[in-house]
Amino acid sequence: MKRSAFVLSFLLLAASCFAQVGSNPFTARDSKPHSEGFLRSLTSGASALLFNAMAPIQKTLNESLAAITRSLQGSRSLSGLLFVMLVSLVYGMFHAAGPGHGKTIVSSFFLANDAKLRHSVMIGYLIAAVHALAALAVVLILYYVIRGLFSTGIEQADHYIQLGTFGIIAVLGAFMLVGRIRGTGHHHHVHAEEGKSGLTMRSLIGIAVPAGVIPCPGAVAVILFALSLHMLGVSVLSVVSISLGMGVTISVTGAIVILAKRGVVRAVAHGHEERNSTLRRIIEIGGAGILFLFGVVLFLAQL
Amino acid sequence: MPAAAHPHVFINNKMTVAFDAGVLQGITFTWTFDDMFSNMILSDYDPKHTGHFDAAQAKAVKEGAFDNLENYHYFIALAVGKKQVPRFAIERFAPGVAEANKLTYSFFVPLKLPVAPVEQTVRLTVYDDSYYVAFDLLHLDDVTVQAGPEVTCSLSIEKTKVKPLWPGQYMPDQLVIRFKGSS
Repeated sequence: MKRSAFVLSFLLLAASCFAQVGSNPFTARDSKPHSEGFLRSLTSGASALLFNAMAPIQKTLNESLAAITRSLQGSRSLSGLLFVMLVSLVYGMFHAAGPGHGKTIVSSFFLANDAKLRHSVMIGYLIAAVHALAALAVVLILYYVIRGLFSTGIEQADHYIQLGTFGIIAVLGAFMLVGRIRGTGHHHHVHAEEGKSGLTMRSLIGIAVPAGVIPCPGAVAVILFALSLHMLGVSVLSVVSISLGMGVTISVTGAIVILAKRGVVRAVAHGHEERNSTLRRIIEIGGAGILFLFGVVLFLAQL
Repeated sequence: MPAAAHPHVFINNKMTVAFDAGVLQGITFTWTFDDMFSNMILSDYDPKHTGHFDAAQAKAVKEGAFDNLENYHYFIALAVGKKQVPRFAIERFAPGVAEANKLTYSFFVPLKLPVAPVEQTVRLTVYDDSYYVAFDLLHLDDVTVQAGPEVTCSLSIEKTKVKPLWPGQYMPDQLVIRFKGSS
């Protein structure tokens, strides 16, 4: 049971590694055709089942969000604002449910570190905060300061943000990988030093920033939509709710990874202390390795 | 870099299959976009909200928010008989504004297949496997045929015959157009 849960979450994780964050196919300037390799069709097929089941629901959410926002133009009722928040929250939850970079980063981070369940909740909140701030900052700057073609501007801004983010991820992953292979920062040492878990607030923020800083195009579109109707307040409310919804989904994924890792170590090691720590170490090196590779591959893809 | 995790653009796709002078001339696609994407493109390319694009604006939309789709084969997979069509031209691209300020794109894909006494088949799917765009599911109601009495044409929606790489893999449905000369 626990083993199958582990296998399942690992497959999800593996599938999400191939899901690149990307630019809008309409407004991007791709230098080469969209690839259609074997791996690509394999992984796209894997996530397509989920994607196709959720697409109509997301379309409905998207349409209702637009309709409610529009209806608030004349009269700003409390119930209307609450409704915007609710729909945005659900939209965010669904939006983050497909394979994406945020969950890949968080999952491999939790594989690589000795994390407690509360860390998965904390990281959800942190990512939500980072994402809401980043998306608002990018859109407001493009909209009010730069004032060019928004669709082209967001494409360029996205490119640089992604370049920076994946560079940071690759470096973080490399440090973590070296640390895990050498055995420093290993949970036994940390237990001795800090008494509890090895995860500090600083390291959680360190991973929440790259996991959340790339503005989701969906959230960007929602902010822009409200702005074009001259509703700055509603756009803030909406993007904060969307980010919270995304945070919830990412928290749940993180929790699954933490539980699966714990379960598999327990099931395989059967209480043998030595086997227990070896296996844990292998998983942690694997997690750090995924994080590193993910960062490198997506960084190179942005060049 | 293509591909994202979740749909960000939602499209309703309508198609018109046009026969003329004993030839399957081609297919017109009309895409109607969701509110959010419509809003972004309209604010950029029709900033005064005139509700239509003039020639210069239409050209700008094409260059700024359509031409890159060539890298995605315009999300269209097309086969004539058993042969996949690797490249096709796009003609008469026209952006527009439909009711409720929704952006529309319409364009024509020429096929130029002479109608013969023997039945011929064209198969197509409209699908973005990078998940950035979600097309509404294919319905026969969304397809119109323009043909004179000299052509017999039938439409159906069928499961793709491509062998999946693993059991349960998602394969988008395809529109199958069968046509021949009326006897």
